[in-house]
Amino acid sequence: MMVQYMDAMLQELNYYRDDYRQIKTVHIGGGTPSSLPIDILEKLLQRLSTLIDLKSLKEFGIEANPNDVTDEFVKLLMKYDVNRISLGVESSFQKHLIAMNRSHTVSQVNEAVSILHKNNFFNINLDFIYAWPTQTMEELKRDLHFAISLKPTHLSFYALILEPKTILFHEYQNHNLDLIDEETDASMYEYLLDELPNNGYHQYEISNFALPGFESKHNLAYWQLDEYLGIGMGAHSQIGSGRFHNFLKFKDYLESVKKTGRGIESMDPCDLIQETFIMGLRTMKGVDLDEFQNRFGVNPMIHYPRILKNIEENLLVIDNRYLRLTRKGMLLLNYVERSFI
Amino acid sequence: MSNQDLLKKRQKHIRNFSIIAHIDHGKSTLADRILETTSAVPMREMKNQLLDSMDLERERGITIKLNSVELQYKAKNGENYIFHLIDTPGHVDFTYEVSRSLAACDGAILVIDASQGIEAQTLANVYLALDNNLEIIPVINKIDLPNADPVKVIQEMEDTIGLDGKDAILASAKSGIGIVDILESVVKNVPAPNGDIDAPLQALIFDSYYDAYRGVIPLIRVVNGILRKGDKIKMMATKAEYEIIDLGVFTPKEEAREFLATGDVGFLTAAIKSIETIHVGDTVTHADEQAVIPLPGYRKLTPMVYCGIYPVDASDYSTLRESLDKLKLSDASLQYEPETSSALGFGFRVGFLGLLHMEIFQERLDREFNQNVIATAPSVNYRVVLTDKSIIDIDNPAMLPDLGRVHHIEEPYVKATIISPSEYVGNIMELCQRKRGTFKDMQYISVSRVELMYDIPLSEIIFDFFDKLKSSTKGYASLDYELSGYKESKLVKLDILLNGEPVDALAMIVHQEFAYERGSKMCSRLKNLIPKQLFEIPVQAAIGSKVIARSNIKAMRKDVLAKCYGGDISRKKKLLEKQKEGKKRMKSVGSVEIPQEAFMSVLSLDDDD
Repeated sequence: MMVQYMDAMLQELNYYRDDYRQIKTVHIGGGTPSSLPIDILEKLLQRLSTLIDLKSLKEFGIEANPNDVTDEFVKLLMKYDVNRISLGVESSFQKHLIAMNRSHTVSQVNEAVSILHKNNFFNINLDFIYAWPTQTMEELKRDLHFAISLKPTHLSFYALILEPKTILFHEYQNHNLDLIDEETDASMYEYLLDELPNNGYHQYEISNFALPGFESKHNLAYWQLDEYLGIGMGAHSQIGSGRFHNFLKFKDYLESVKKTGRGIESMDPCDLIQETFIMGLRTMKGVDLDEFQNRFGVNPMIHYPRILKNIEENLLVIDNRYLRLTRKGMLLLNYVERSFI
Repeated sequence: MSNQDLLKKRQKHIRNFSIIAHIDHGKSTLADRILETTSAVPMREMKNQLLDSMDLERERGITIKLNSVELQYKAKNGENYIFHLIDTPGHVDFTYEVSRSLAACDGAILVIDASQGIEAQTLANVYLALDNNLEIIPVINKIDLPNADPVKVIQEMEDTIGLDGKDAILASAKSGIGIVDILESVVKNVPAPNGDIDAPLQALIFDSYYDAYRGVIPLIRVVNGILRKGDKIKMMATKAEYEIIDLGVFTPKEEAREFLATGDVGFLTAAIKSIETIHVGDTVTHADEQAVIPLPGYRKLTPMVYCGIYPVDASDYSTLRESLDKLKLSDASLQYEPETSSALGFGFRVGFLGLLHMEIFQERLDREFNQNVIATAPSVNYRVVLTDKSIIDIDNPAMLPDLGRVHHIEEPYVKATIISPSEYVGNIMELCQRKRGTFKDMQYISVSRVELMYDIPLSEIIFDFFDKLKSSTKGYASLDYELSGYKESKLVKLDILLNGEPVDALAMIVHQEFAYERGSKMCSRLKNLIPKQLFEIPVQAAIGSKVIARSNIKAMRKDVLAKCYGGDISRKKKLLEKQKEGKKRMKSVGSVEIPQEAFMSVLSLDDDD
């Protein structure tokens, strides 16, 4: 099955080969590519290297489980010029890792980072989840200090999102679990907003923090509505003004690639004017209003009169020619974004 | 034989009857079975419960609009009979409509569930039938169910209604047991119509419905005389005159007829454009040769319960008005007039026969007319006597005049009949007391079942009485009520203030004793219902200028979707759109967004938070 899937992805990659001549970043993620058998991963990287000049990429990243990071794995990444790794650390507490159903331990995180460092692989991002049920402020503080002690170049702190159809959601609906209250959630976020910059990690997106120069170029592409191509099951793409997504089910995806060379299930509606704000305001830089007006030929303040109201409400601010979130706005991102719906 | 003689002979073979029952005792199933047995409906066309034609009726298992069907039945004596089965609504809200359709009958099949026994609406319907001098055929239904106890139920029937138990037919409509016995009993016991075909025309309007092409269509029972196509007719109460275009009966399909003679039940069409001229209970007579007096029992319907109906989006006001006009065409008892609220803008005050009627109305508005509305909490009609002794009617709490001008306030009371297993009597008495009820009477209808009579303010009934009654009797008690008159009460107006501003649509009139309790519950309820906004919102309950309770809706602190999954912008947008959609169903009052439920929340104030 793994081989079949890999072949289908490579076929899809081949289909689009004319579309990514100008490619700047590659990211292997969405799940845990690190858990692939090493020979299959090598086959993927090897094929990629024949289609793309991997050395010229500005960023070539991969996602990994901490317990999948071995010497062999890191050496393979480096052989193919992977220059960024993202580890799903999530917590520094074993009890939370167990509750999250993660397969790694806290000591495996330490080990993974030291293997990477030993191999001179320093461009490391660590993902954390906060506002996890039962998590306390003190625990978040320890998570943060644990994260910093590992000397990553980049940190992501995502507040828990309760997704329908998950075990957690089910537990919540059955009243078996209490979510963190809004006040604590907000205080936790504010703590991160203060404490991470104090340690050199400046915030450049709503949940993302980096040492100067280590912002994720790949993620910025999403937020700035650059073109991107997703390969594989359930992947999303934006090419020109066309947006589409692939089949999510293995069988459907395989069949589609076999028939058409690619896995497209359907096109998605795309409204770049609106999305420029919805995505752009996630970044701390914000949205370049002049560029917006030049690109779309509409005055943003007239097109979206609520911008002015949000400015009055102290949620948005115009800084130079950029419209960006205030600190209060960061805590109320969804509220602000609904102004553009 | 002359034509007239033939018609008189035919009249002797007509049987007009209806089926009366408490809700869920099997009335509709029995109607289906009768239609099937008399072969009015071929089996393959049989939809379950054929007489209930509105979707809503079928879903809720209750009959709202009446229907009448003409059936042919060949009796065991070899003679052919014409049956008119007239359906009646089975709910307390529609007592008057039930009484009019019973007035169109000469007999009634009384269905009693063999395990449930006599219920409040069984009694209410029996009394209505007896008022109309109907011959009653008792049927003990669902005898094949494991917990059926027909002997006990027959005993109850003998004790409470005084019917002879020997006449009771044991049946199961579902399994087809006893159906022929019932039909034979109709032939034998229900008298033929006794009207005079040679007398001036008197036909009773017992229902009407609206057809987009033919206008208002009254359903009638000809009591005396004969009605022919082309006749000029007059409505005796509303004085409106029309010319008959078509006559017919339902079999249950429409079937045109040249005439409807004494004893016949059918419909007429006359290009009637205005529902106002057709009143249930009115008498149809000939325009030139008029009957001297109308048939007895006519009454103009008065609403018992009122609520405000407002469009969520103010620009929908005119389409809301159109929808109400159309609804009125098929629901003559609906009454409404324009009303303005400073919180909700332009809307209507709508009067209903009862809470169920109100619920059905709201559902039809949503389902058939796609209207997104806000309904305010229901209110009764208060009679306010001013200091200058003049009297005004107030059906909207916000309109209550300044208390300085008020001498006293009277509120409507109902006579409530509650039937329940005797073990719950204590609970019921406690509940009735809590609802300001006055005990009137109590009697055992069998060893284990009791009938209780209370005088209770109608406002307490519409509040949550029925739910509370059900929960304090494990669902076994049944309730029936009728308006008994107005009584003076110590009532005050309770204002609700959001962000310091009174919201007129949330105002309520409550008894002085309950003001504090309901005020503080309302505050905590609203605190939970109104979503957090950017700023803190004080919620206050006040009588006049005196604040008696308060709570605070804290400011929104955090609302962030932390992650945007691998370029899946669509997912993010869908979420935002869904949130925005939720906002659309809220009403902005001043700077506060209030969800629809908030306006109805007063109804559940007695629940524990």
